[in-house]
Amino acid sequence: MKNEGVHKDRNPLSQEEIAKGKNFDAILNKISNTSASQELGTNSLKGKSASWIKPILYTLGLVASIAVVVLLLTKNNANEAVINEEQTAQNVEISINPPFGDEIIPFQTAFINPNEDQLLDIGRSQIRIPANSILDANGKEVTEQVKISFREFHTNSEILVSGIPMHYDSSGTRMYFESAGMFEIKAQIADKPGSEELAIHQEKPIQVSWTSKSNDTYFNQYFYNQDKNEWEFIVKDRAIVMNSESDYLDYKRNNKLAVLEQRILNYDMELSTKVDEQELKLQEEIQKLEAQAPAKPIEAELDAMLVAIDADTKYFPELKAYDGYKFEVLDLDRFDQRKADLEWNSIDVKRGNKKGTYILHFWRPGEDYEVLCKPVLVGEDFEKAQEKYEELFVSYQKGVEQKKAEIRTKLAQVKAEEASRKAEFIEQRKKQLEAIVALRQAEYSASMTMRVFQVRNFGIWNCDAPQYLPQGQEVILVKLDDMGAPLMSSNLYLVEKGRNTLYNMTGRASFEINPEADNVLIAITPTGNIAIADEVVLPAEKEKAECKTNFKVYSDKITTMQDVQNILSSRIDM
Amino acid sequence: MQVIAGKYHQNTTDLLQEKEWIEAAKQHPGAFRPLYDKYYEPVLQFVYRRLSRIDDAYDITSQTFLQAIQKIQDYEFRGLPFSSWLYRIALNELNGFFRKSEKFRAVVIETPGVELMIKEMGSEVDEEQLTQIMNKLPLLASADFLLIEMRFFESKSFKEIGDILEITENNAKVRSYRAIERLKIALQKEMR
Repeated sequence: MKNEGVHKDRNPLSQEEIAKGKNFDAILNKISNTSASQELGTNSLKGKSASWIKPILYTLGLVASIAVVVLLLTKNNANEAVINEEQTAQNVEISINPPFGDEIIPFQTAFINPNEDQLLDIGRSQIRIPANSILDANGKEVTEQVKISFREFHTNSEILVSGIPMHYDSSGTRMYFESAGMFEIKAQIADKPGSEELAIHQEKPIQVSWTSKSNDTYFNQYFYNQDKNEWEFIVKDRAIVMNSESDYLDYKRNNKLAVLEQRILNYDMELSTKVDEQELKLQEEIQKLEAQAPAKPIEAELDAMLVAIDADTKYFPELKAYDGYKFEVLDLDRFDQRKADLEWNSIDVKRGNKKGTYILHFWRPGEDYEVLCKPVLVGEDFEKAQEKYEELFVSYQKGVEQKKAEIRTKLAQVKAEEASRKAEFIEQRKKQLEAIVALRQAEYSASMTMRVFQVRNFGIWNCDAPQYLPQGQEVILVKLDDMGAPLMSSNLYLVEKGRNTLYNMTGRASFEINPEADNVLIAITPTGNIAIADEVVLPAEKEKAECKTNFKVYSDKITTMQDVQNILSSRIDM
Repeated sequence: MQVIAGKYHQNTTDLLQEKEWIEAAKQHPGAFRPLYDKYYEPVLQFVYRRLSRIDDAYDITSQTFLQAIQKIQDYEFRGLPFSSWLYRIALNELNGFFRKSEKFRAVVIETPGVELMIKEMGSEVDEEQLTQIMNKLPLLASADFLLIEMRFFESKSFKEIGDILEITENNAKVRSYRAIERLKIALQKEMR
């Protein structure tokens, strides 16, 4: 065996040495960068040799610093515009800042009962919300109706309009997302507009199955942390590429069937509970009735100690048969004869623990006494009571049978009603399912990649891959309008046609442009108009030089997404 | 002197806990942390034993966990400790490292392990034999040394060796005995 060396009884690693190499966060960082590194090899290196890419990356920060110096030394109107941009750059870059307002891409909404499993078809996406997964600010399950708001951003135009920062800082290097698209999901209690945002139960994530226009499989999933204004890597995206429309439909159908089955199961449990509750209620009625059974008269013992009290039969209906009944003292050994000679202010009667026994509670100021008794009859009273008891018992039995028959009928009725409701429910769901599947068939004939997100926070999610900034020729951009006059702008973006990456260059005095790409620059003027440079003619000098670029300014007022698309879609959207 | 033995035999609670961590890690890489905390040191020791430089061991251990996180979706829990899977990745990473760097592995031999081996061979431990074996071990075929290393210097059971090398427990046992037999023959040849 070839070896580098033999170590006999080598010293073991010390705890310090072991701890030195332990860094889980560094591994996580590497994971989030993996996609980017892979992409670097295929897209950003066009026409470059690997040997000089690395220094460029390492010196990106330095270039940015030099750019500021150049900015200060260059004195023309165009660069004054750049200075203005520099001032606004931070706002544009660090937080969500839609250039035409937040409403331009409207949310689609749905109202749900959060207590049962839900499957929503909103736009091109399918959202599965597990029952009881939505929580209020105190972490309690929300029971009121909830309004779910959802919107998607797929194209460069939509991303531009969203104003969502698309940069991602990876180990100190600023990168930009190549996007397979984004979505934003929000939830509020339906009848409380403006109420605080709700949260998601961490163990019951909402599943967003989202149809992506891109079929590529190298993306990651990120969540935009609005408190920190940064994207957080969540997981490597697992695109489910549908090979045929029937695969796609099967996928959707299976999701729907799963929810349908869950709902039926939940509904079934709900119905069973209802029937059980009803059965219990009726059972209680029978028990109450049975408690009213007349007590069989008992004749007093010859040597019994008897107490004569007229207890109200309203409270003790079982004593109804006993005209002239008396209470015979039980447990004579413990009975205190002297108490019988005292005068008592009140005597209460209550049932004893054992059936057919009663407790007499004697009270007078400063003293009370309890005696366990049973009701008995003496002589003629006993004979009369026996006769009355026969009558009462027959009547009681008849009443009980009648009640039981009523209860049986009622229960059968409840069960039949519930069964019918369940059948109707299932039928309705099946029809809904068929209708939805049929609708999908018509609607989805092109999109075939499904990306599934386990959403544990409401907010903005994306499916992207970080890319380095374009590289090639460094330019100091001088923006000119149609008339050749300096163009002021509050936002500036660079798009390489054919890629779904929007580079926000706002406020950059100079930046690199890939000479081999089909570059388009988009500026938003301070008055909210779109200006486009379809062609960027790079200066002949290979070193950093001014790049005078003419922008066509569109005077159209931007109020809807359609207005934006009319100008931008054909130029920058894939 | 330290003989590193990973905690292979685990009770059901530990295994179920590990299963939960694995399932969570499949959902989110960050959830791999408890597995990292549990196995970082055994994996580092495993890797370092085969290297001369600690810095290389850090890199390869880090790379091992990186690979593990990226491949966790493919890991199938079969009621066995996760460690075997990590060691298998570590061995692959080590082989890749040796191939790319055109370096060779280090051979680390500890006296207690050699003494154990001598006893298993049915001999008495003496200084002369200790020296002979210590000199002979680095000359073994790498596959034989790996088996002996795991068995005597890392105190791994045949079951665990089998899991790491993806062979049956019995096969691991047979191969280990054969490796020792070959070592014995080499020693006898030298004696003549």
